[in-house]
Amino acid sequence: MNDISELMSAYLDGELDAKETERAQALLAQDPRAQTAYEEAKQMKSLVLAKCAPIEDPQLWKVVRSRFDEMDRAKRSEAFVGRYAWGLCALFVVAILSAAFMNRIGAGRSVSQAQVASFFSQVQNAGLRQAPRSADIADVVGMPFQQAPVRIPSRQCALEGVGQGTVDGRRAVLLRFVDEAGPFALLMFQGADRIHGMEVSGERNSDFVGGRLNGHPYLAWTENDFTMLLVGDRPTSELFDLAATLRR
Amino acid sequence: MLFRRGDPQRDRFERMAETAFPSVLGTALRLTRNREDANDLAQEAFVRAYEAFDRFDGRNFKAWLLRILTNLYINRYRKQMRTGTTASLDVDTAPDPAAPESEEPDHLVFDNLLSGEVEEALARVAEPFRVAVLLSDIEGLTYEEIAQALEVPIGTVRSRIARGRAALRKELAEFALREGYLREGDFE
Repeated sequence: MNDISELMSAYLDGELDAKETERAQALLAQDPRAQTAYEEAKQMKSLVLAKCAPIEDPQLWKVVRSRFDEMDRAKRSEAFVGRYAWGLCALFVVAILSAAFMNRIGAGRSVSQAQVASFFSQVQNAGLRQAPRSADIADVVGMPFQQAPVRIPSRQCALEGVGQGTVDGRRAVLLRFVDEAGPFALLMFQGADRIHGMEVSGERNSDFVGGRLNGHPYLAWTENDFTMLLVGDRPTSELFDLAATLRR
Repeated sequence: MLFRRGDPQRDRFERMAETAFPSVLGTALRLTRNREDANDLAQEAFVRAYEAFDRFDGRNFKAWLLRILTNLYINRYRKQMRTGTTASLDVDTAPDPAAPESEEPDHLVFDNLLSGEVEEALARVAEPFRVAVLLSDIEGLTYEEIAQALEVPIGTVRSRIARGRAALRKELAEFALREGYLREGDFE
């Protein structure tokens, strides 16, 4: 490729500075090689321009546009997350802490079945002390159970013994009675309204939950911040009758 | 910077992009000579352009798009498609602007969009010269714009265009005579 061809090609494209343009024009005026080079370049340029058209493809353009939409959507999502990330994180942390707090509060008002069963066994194994003969629960077990919403049905049954201890740190008492059908026990503690994991079998209504504790049938209810379990080896219907007698 | 549909900037970009779309697709096809690669390349160029629209200097949108396209082609597609015999855009000392045999389009998917003797002859011109000619003669870019697109000096662009046209003339001698673009005496 000689200098004249390059010069003429660039002259054709209007890409020469003033000095080179002057030189190209001078060559064109007097040099046949320059004239040929110029004509050839001009013809090729026209030919390419005439025969090589831009390519239309409306379908592909639609695809490209849909990609713009996708990019916009992705960007908007990123922007939202970016803008509110701290808020979302804070909300998440607050939700976790709230759930933990609520759970803690809930846990504070409940005891587990294992704790109740453990108290039941321990008190029975340790032996019960003789209880004074009285229909008043306060005389029998003292504070704070004088507030307990039960009375001792001294006509129907005899109080055989009293045991004391704790259930999950709460003071608890167990009163052992005997009536015509045999022995039964009343277990009481304050400050809990739920017993987690207590086996529930059959009897359940809005006031009572029935099940088995250490293999013995029981009936449980809560009243005035006290939880009471009536435990005895007898049909649940009899436990219901007993509970009705005990409740004030 | 992205915009949502209905946003004036998004609409402005889309209007300009739609106008430039045939040029971008045509150039992509003439670069890759493969319809599927050309579609991917063109789409990718538009995506890049859309992402970078806030950096567009406001002068020649088509030239800016073609610059993105050629850079993308050089950096990505050519690396994928490169074979040992393919001419390099970075080599200006190629002795003959006619493409090596392996680069000829007859074994490529060169669909009817680019049929015709001129397209086929252009495809046979070695890549560095072909790109310069098509950006100049088909797309009408200035030497400065081509130099920016190809990241080479303006002198190199000038040389490549002249050599590309000469190579094309050699390829098209018979056709040009037949069609009246060249006269009998013009052909050496």
